[in-house]
Amino acid sequence: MAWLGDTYVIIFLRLMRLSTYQLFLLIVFAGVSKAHVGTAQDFLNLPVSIRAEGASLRSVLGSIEKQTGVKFVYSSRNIGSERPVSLQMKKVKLLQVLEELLPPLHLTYKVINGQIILDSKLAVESPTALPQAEPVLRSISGVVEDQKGEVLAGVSVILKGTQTGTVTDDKGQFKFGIENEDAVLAFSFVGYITNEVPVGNQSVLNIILQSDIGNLDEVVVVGYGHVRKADLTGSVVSIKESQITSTPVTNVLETLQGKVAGMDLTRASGESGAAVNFTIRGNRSLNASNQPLILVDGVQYGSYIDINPNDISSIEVLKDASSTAIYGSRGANGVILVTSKKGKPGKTKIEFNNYFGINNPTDYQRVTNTSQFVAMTREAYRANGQWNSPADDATIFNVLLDNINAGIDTDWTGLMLHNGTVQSNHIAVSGGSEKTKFRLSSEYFNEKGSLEHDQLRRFVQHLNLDHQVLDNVKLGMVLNFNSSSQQRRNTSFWNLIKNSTLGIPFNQDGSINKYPFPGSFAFNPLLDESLENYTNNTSSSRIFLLGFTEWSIRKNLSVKSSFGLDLANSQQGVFEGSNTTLAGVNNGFSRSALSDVKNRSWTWENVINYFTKFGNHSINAMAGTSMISYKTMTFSGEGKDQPFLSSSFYNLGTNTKDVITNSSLTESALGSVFGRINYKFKDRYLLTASLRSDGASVLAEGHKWAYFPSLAAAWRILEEPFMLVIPHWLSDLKLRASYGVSGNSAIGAYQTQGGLSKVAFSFDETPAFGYWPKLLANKDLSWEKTSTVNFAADFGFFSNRILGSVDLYRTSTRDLLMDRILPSLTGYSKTVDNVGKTKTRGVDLIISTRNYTSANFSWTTDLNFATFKEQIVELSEGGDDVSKSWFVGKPLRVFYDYEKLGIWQTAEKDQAQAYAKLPGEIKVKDQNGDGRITATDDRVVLGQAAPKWSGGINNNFKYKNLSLSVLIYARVGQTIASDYFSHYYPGGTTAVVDYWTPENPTNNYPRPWINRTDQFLSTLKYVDGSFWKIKDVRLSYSLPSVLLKKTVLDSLTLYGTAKNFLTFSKIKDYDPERGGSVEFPLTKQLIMGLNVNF
Amino acid sequence: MKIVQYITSTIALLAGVVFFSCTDFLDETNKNTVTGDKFYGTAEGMESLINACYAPTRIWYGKVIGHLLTEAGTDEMLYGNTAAGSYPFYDYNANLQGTNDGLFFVWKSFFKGVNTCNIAINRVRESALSADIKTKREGEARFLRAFYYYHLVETFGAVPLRTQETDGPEMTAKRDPVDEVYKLIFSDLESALEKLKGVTAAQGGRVTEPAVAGFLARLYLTRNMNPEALAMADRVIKNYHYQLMSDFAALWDINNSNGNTNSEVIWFVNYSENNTLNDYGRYDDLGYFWLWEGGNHGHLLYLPLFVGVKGWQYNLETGRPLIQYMPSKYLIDLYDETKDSRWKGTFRTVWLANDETTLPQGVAIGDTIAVVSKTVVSEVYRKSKRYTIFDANDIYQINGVPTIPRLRFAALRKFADPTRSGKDVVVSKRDAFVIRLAEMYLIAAEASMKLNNNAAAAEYINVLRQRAALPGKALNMKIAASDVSLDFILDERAREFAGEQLRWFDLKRTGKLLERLIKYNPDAGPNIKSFHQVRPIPRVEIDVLQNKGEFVQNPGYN
Repeated sequence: MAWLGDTYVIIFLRLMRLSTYQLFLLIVFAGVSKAHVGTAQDFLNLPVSIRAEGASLRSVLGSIEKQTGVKFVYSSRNIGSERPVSLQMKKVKLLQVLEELLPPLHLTYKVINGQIILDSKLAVESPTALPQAEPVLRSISGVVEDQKGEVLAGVSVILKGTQTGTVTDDKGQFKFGIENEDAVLAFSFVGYITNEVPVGNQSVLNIILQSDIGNLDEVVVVGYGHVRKADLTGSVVSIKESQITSTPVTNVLETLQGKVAGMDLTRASGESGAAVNFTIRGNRSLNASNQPLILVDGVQYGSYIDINPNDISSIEVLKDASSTAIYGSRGANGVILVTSKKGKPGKTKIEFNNYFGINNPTDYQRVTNTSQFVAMTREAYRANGQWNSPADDATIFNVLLDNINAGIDTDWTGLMLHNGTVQSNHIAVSGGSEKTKFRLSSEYFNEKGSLEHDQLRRFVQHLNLDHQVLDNVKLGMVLNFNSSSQQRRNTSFWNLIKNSTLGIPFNQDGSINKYPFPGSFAFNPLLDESLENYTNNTSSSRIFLLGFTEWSIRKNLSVKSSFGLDLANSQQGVFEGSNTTLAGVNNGFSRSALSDVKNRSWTWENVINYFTKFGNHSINAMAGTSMISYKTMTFSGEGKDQPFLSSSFYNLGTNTKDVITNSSLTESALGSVFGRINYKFKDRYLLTASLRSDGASVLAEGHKWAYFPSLAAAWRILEEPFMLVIPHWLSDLKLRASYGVSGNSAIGAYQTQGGLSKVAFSFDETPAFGYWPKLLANKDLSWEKTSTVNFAADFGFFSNRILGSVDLYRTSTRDLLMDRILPSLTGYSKTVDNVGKTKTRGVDLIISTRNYTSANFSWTTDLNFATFKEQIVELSEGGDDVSKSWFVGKPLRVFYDYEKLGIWQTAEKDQAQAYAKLPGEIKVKDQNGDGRITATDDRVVLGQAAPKWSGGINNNFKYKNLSLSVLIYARVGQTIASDYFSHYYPGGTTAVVDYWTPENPTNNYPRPWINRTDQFLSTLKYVDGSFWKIKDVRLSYSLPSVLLKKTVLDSLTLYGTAKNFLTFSKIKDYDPERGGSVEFPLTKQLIMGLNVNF
Repeated sequence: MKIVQYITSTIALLAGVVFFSCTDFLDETNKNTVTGDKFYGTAEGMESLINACYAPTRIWYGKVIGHLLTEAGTDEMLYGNTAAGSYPFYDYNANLQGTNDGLFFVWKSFFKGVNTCNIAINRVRESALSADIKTKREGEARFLRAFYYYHLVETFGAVPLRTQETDGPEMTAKRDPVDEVYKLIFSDLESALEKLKGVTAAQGGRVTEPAVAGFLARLYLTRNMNPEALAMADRVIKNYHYQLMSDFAALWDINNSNGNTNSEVIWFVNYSENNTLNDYGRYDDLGYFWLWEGGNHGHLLYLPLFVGVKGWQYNLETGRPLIQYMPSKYLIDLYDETKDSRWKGTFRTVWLANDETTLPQGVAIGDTIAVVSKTVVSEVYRKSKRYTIFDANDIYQINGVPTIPRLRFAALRKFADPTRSGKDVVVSKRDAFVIRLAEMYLIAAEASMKLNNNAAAAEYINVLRQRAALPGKALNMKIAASDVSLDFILDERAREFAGEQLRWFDLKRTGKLLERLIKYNPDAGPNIKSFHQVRPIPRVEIDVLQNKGEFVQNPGYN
């Protein structure tokens, strides 16, 4: 990183090293000011008691406010708030109080927007007249509109610091008198962000209110239904359209990185089309999958979401068991619901979204160059007593000497890593009538990775169609067609870094030097760059079809039946020519292989919904059935020695050697019955109960079925009358608690049966294939079950300018589905079994703040933070399973090895001798101090693979038509096993490290030693993988509506994104998000895009 | 209540649909494979099980790990230039530990063999095979179980004795004493000898009566049961149709590499020309690396590379050099090339020019380009030749330590296969000879000697030495009874069996491992300790057991 030397950058880095905690505090407490919004509903029925003898009207109103939480808005002078009143009423409805109190005072009231506006009778009698202004210095007037330019009636306008105020009329106009220039007016309206405006010397204020996306009336998708956010009892994070498309990604799940508390997500590699690794709230299962269930419009989809991000309207992440238990056996790892976009009635809309970007490999860890190699090799032979001076170079370098003297120093990595590109073109047409709605879209996506020919091309066609057949019958379908072609490269990064810098890549005529390495017949890796010589192409197509019909039998009773079909076919063809680096593996022949995978799954679900409301009770009940069937067929063939290079993998029949075919069939099924009841009392007591019964074919007879119950309660505590005493900066508070059980049956089919596998043999030339047992059958295999307890609080402060929630949870998983490693002396290596328990405890925190909002400028922040502690509670009877690095009381994935203390120094010769070591070799800790280093006693847990905490902060700034968003993502506390740092084999190219010599008594790396490979080399690879990065920076500009009015365009946005651009960690030249591997480093992207709507 | 009716009837309908279908909806039928219970009862199934019993023989004979455990770290062989990853096997350095994955591979493969044999032995009598075949197949399975146990017990020392098929997870184990293991081995072999009576013709690699007898002879000798060893070796020499090949070099000719037709081969591990019949690793999950393609790999391991010799390139004829092993100074000095044909029959010392592109001036294709000499050559002689000479001093230092970079040395050519389909091809169809007639003579000799009959011993040895004598040198090769000693027999075994995967066991059996390594192997000499006479138990195996406290590692290893 050359720029590290720059002074400014250093200062910048120091600034950036403010810990994330500090940053968090800064954001939460910056620039948040008070405002108020009424939350009461039906409050005219709230009970009130008044006992006033000549008290001022103001104090009476105040008392009512305290008891009921309602807010009165009035001009003190207008209503004469200091007038004495007398009134005695006990536990009567507020309505009655007002009827009693106001008329004698010639006052009237109006309920607007949850507030009670008081005015003198005069105003009521002539409703168009605005409240009379007081004799004041100045009068302020203006119009309040929303973002779309529509006027807003009923917006309360309050002089900050007083209860004086007014409301806008039906034309959105207001008029108000103020007394001094310091006045600040607060404009508030339900569903919109309160806007506070200093009046200054203006007399006309035209205000635009931004709609509040954190609004509690927002609808959230949950399993088999929707629910108002306010009525939610479980832990659900909803990511909306604008957040999904804010970063250009291949796999839409990547947009969730740094945005969902408790979701740990990393990119798997920098290869084009690479997958993402993700878990929700840590790992529970040691062997079965820890991947969440992903559903698209309610139907199970694989973990690789190849849907066009522009076609997605929302992604909901269900985290606690009360939300996921409705998915029963598939819900234990969390559920991700992807909802596709639908058409809206009205004008036909067309959108074009295009972007283009450059993929730049992040810095690469280089191996020793020639001079480093020479120095290290000399030392390695010196250690062995075979090198004393450069006079011995000829012996030790032998055939390499000429190239060393010629100064050959080839940077193979530099020759093979290139900048890639990424491009996406998307068009969508949507619209329809009240009866029929449609949305049709296409995307072309093309990504080139950092190796020559590493490429993914994708074409996605999406159709969403709804039609109201009868008044009470609706039909609909979703169709997603995906066709892709991916060219993958021989993952030879390992070779790449091991290649000697002494190799000469090109002949003098510029052609590729076939054998570049002196004294070796290893092929030139550049040969692999030719498609004729090495090709690995996967073409896939996938049809995802969902059809449904919904019958509203009565107003509050409906039935929905849906059938989803997912057909995915892919074909991978590989051709490895006889001149590739793989030739050695292939016996010097070319190899061609073709493999076909056909997946077919269908889901048929029937759901009945019933809704009723009586008095203060409302009940929403749902019941359904589900059948899912999966089938996978594979076919593959391969052969060697293809006589016609041009045939590549298209004619396997012409191969002359080692022709092999294989095929397989895997079928499994899941049948379920489920139901759920949502009960709500008085809008503030919420209860959800659900039960699902699942049967899975993959489990053993008699263990196939199980029940998954859940129960959740929520209490909108702020609605309680006794909460009147709360300070007014608290604008929302809800407490939630839930418990549920969900399952995991993510094991392969047929594991309960055992089976035979084939082994080749022959007598003379007569085939004698053998069939021997492969798997030890487990006839008791059952579900893995996870129960989760979740306690949470949702809160809002300062008119919901700060919104957030905090979740505390504890999951316990039992009967883990696990590969039980068997002693090999049984003749088996493993069996699948239900053994062991794990638990995870954690905290998820989400906070959204609107730090500053004005007509022209706004600043908002979304922050999330998650920490969890995984623990293995119990394994099979004997405790720890060292062979798998599983230890009771430790996290699920840990690194277990000797603990490196340093290097044995010359002065420690005698101590080293006691351990049969020499100075210069790695010194590991004798944990039990018995004077011997043994595998049984001296290996310890060195670190965990899961982060200790992770979090993201997204700051959005908007100034007029310009907006900037910056996403910072941090993942801290994980250890990674670095391939690079353990690549230390002196005599060849190795990691560039500080190694021990008698003259350099370091404690980092052992002495290079030509015939002595250090026993503890593996201890060198464990490094702290913590990092934080500026994940995305996006700057966009939308054309002002004034300009657009003259065109057919509705909007036009131009943006630039810098993705994954700056990463800060302890490891130089490496992005630790990659997890330690040297293959396909993660890339940085610079993207320019244009979105047009008309 | 109309609503209730609606709800109940709809739920009933939906549930009914699901459950009706569910009766078979959740049944699981695996069409990819069958279970042993069903299959092994049939004749085909039992035959396939017996075939599978043979499969693990292929992980050792003619394979990398098998050579490492028998030839590396002996007095015959030192490591070559590219053996880096396997050093501990060559020089017994501190990294020779249970973490070595090659050892684990052997352990699990042979125990898989044991379990497969156990299934076969337990079930063969209930199978649909004819009575006659049943007896033979049981004999084969018993031989193979003994064969695997022999390798396990000699390699690892005390090992768990298992005679029943595994039918559920077992998480504990105990190490049974070596004597107990040998009891099973001998009872299996003696039973096999009975069951295979009369099966004397070559069976394409199947176990025969003489194969059992030959193996018994080796094991009797190993256990110091000398009269039995002598009798059994004699029985193989006299009772069956085997004959020594007249020419030692011809014994190793690729045209005689089929164990089925080679007159000297008593038992062999069969490899096929069709590599889909060889490939063991691809069909199972035991691990692939140590198998590395199919076929015999012996041809790769012992070859030098003449880096820097212009006009030369490795080719099909001289083989693809993996440079894993080079002969020790001791080994090459054992041969008297003036009278013993086994020097030339064992080693290639002359290479011809074959690379047009780098051909030096004045040298033609086919001319000699490189020569390895076991003696020291004068500068004058060297200068008189157009080809490069690597003499004893170029290859070894005075103390026997090879000079770096250990690339050029005499090539052990016994496993050469110039019929492979290309110079880089790893797969060889060459059968791996496990027991050949010559061994019977040397077993008989050693047993005779131990029974104080050196004259008989000399007689047995002379049979082999006569065969090995160069024309006209028969008399010079002859030894007298007074020449016979244990060291002489070990030397003779080295001359006869160099590279044939016997040496480590020979040294261990005779108690000469330490003595001879200190004397003849300058790499291993400084490190070898008494505990090295057994290998470490694989670490992962101990790790997985629940009674780690009882199942202890061999002493000296951690």
